[in-house]
Amino acid sequence: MIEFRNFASPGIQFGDAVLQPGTENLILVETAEQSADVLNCLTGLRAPASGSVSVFGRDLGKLSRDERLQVLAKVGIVPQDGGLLAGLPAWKNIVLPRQFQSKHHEAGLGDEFDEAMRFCAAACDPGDEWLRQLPDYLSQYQRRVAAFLRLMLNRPALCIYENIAGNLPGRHKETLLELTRRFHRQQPGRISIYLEFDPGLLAEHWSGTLIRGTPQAQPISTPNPHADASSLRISIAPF
Amino acid sequence: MSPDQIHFCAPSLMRQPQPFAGLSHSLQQPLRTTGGGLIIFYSGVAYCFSLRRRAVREVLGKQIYFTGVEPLPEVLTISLLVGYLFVLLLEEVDMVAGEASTRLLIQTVVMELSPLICGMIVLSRSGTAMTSEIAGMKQRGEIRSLFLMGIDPEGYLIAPRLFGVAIGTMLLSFFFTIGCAIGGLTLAVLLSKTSFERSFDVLVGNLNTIDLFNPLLKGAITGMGVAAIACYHGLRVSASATDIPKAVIATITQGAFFVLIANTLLMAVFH
Repeated sequence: MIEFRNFASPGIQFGDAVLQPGTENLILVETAEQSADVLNCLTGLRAPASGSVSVFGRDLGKLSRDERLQVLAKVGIVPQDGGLLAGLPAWKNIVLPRQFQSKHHEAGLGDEFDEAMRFCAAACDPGDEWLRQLPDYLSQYQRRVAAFLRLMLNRPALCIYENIAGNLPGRHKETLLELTRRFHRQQPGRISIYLEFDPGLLAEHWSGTLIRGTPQAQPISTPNPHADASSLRISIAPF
Repeated sequence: MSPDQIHFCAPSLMRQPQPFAGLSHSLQQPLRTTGGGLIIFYSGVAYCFSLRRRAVREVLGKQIYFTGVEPLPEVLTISLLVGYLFVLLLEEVDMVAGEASTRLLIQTVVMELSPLICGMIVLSRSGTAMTSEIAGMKQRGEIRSLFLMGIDPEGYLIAPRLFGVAIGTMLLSFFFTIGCAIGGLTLAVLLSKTSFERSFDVLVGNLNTIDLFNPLLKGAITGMGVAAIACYHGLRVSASATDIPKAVIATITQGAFFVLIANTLLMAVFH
């Protein structure tokens, strides 16, 4: 269960909301920066401007670094740029979180990878050439598909999709949304959150929970929400 | 933005205490690098347990390969030439010949010069590459992505690089020592007309256990220090693209300073 209490992230106010297990939820914000801020608050990378948000009953911002990483390892996130590491080919990016969590070779990982590929067959290009390419050579759509495959291998209880349908042609948008919904239904109790800043993308025919942020009087702009090291809490700050 | 983000994106807005604030800029910079490098070093060592993870061992293996194996042909060539030149110079100035030059070769080139030269090679190859890689990762938001995947950035990025460069530099120092000894020995035999067996006996006779470990230990310490400085400067960049070349320059200059100081201090300790 995800619980927002009088929650506000910079520039946008949400108030109270509870996301129940098994639900699909759409959080509407106004800009990409606000969407990145909400994601940062949800994952404990930054504190909310006011109020609190708890994930599975725990406020990630108040957990120790290691405890937070343990929780995040069970959360699947598809950032809008895919969040892939530029130095690794797509397939290595997909298996990276699983490989990081395991100390030894996982015999079943290959089968799970194949199963995930079959699940996403409609979304993937024929052949596996794209899997061997570095993220910089992939299209925005392929990067999101790779991030979705990475999420699938994690089998998360909470899935967060940041602007997953944004800037995609209609066919790709529908394919990706269909995949995320099918994946949502695979596991009872799974919570899916779609963070969107374009109301036209999903809100029109949305049947799940809709949380719409209301703008605050003085929004605080974030110049580049991705160029940060907030996650790297090696405190070299005084130096 | 969190305090850390504020620090990385706009240092002027830092709320953290600023040590060395009263000192001049030329003094502040090396002190900051020392402090930051030591913290990175501590982080790498503290997260060494992450090396048991398969994904991290892959990064470690790559780092060892790029630092200690890939440059081997160049390093061996340089080492043969250095050993060769050293004995040639000794003979040219008519200082020593035969056994004495072999002994000097061991004392200076093998013991002192090999970790120093290897440190410089590692700094110019791996140090610069590491700084630009980590700086690029930070600017592309990949460190944030790692965290969102539940992956320790220190465990995945810092620890394998620190240990990989340390092991790689040890390897390079070892092979540089061998190359120097072979190059110098060959020339000593050619110039002084003594037998190879005799010169080899002198070489082995002058080496003790500490002599063998000396360049390895110095190589490991130098390599770890270079990696810590490279990671520190890579992590310090902000969002501007011009920060990356600046960080690489800082790594080269401060890393070279570190290699010289560290080797001088270690020389003092071992003698």
